Amino acid sequence: MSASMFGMPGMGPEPTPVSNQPKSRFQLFKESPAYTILVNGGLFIAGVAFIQSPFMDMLAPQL
Amino acid sequence: MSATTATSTTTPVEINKLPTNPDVSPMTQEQTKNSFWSSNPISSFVIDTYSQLHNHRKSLDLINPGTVENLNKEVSRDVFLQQYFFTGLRADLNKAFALNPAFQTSHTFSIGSQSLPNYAFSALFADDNLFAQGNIDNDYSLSGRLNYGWNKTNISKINLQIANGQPSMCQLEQDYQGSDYSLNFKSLNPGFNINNKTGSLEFSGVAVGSLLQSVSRNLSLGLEVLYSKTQASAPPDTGISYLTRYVSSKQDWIFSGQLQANGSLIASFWKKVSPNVEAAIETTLQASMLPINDPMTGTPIGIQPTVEGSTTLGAKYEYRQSIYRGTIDSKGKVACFLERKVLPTLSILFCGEIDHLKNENKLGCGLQFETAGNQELLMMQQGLDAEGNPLQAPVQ
Repeated sequence: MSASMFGMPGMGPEPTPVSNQPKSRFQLFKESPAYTILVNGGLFIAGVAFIQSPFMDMLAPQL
Repeated sequence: MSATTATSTTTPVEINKLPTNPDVSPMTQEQTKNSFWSSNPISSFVIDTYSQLHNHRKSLDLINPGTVENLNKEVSRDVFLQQYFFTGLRADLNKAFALNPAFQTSHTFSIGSQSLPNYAFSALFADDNLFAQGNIDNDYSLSGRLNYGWNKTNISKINLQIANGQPSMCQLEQDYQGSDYSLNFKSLNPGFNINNKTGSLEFSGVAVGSLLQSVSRNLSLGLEVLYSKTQASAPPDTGISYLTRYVSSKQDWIFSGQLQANGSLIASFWKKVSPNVEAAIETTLQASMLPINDPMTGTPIGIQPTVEGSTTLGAKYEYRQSIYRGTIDSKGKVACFLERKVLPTLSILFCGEIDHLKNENKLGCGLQFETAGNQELLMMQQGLDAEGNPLQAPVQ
């Protein structure tokens, strides 16, 4: 006869929280396909800029 | 003065060309040379338009854009290490018997690898027109490749694969390289069946046709059309892929893009940073439809679009005795591949990969032995010619 059997508050294990709260705008955007497209598009542009920049030339040894 | 002289000399010729009687209007000497096709108004219009286009293309001074297969070769084959990556231990024993025509055999031993067989034997023959390669492994999987160049622009290719416990594969391919375009036709497991209902002949298998055309000295655009009918009962599947490639004027950087029929978009960029360093980046976006299942019953109730993407940045350092490749991607994977020639006949291979998000690691080590099948090659490996004198570097 456990306490949770009778549903006494504060006596049994915590029930698993059910998220009834609406998702934030950022969360909705993060789950949309546009997020993946923007992140990878941004990474590609940043990568091209890095390869074209003098930083990449510095990574090449001058033999 | 000179103009009148010129007129007086050409006048008899011009008169001879004119028809003597306007009603009869006999054909001039030039007109009699024309065939039916060039004198016919419809076909002559087509021929004239084509020749105008051809002359315009010639005036643009275009170059061959390369093949569709090699659209992003500099990125995926030269810089990135996916093609070279292996796990476990590996030893390659290569023996070259002749250089021209080239004939070479190879034994590959491997343990602890999921992709490589424990033992594989391969033989290679190549001369100016023919390239033939055959592989067999301890699972009795047999694969072969045959390329034959009919001339500099036409190459036929055959790929065969007979794997133990898997369906056999045969691929026929034809490559044509024009002055400013490349054509490629290939067919995977082609066959013709007679339809029992209609009695007509039906193609089965996969057929792919592609065209890559230079539109300027730097930019080329292409199309790839796919037709697939693998099951007789199922309707055929078709798709079109769009391709583009831009090579800089100095040829030190290349951009290529592909919008494939399966919904993937691939953009890649390659740059030669210095004579022995190359860097590249590739982004892949894959769009697909995922089914939405009812949480209670588990039955599909709809579909939702999803896009998966990954971006990989890599570099290749190539030195006289070693090649180093390294990549890092947006999914948390860091990988490297090192190939070092310790002796003229011995190379050491090392590759490793760390997946930070999945907490997985892969490691591979290998040895590559190059042995000579005759005295001349043995001397050449040691940097000597047939008489034992040091080899001279060719004059640049």
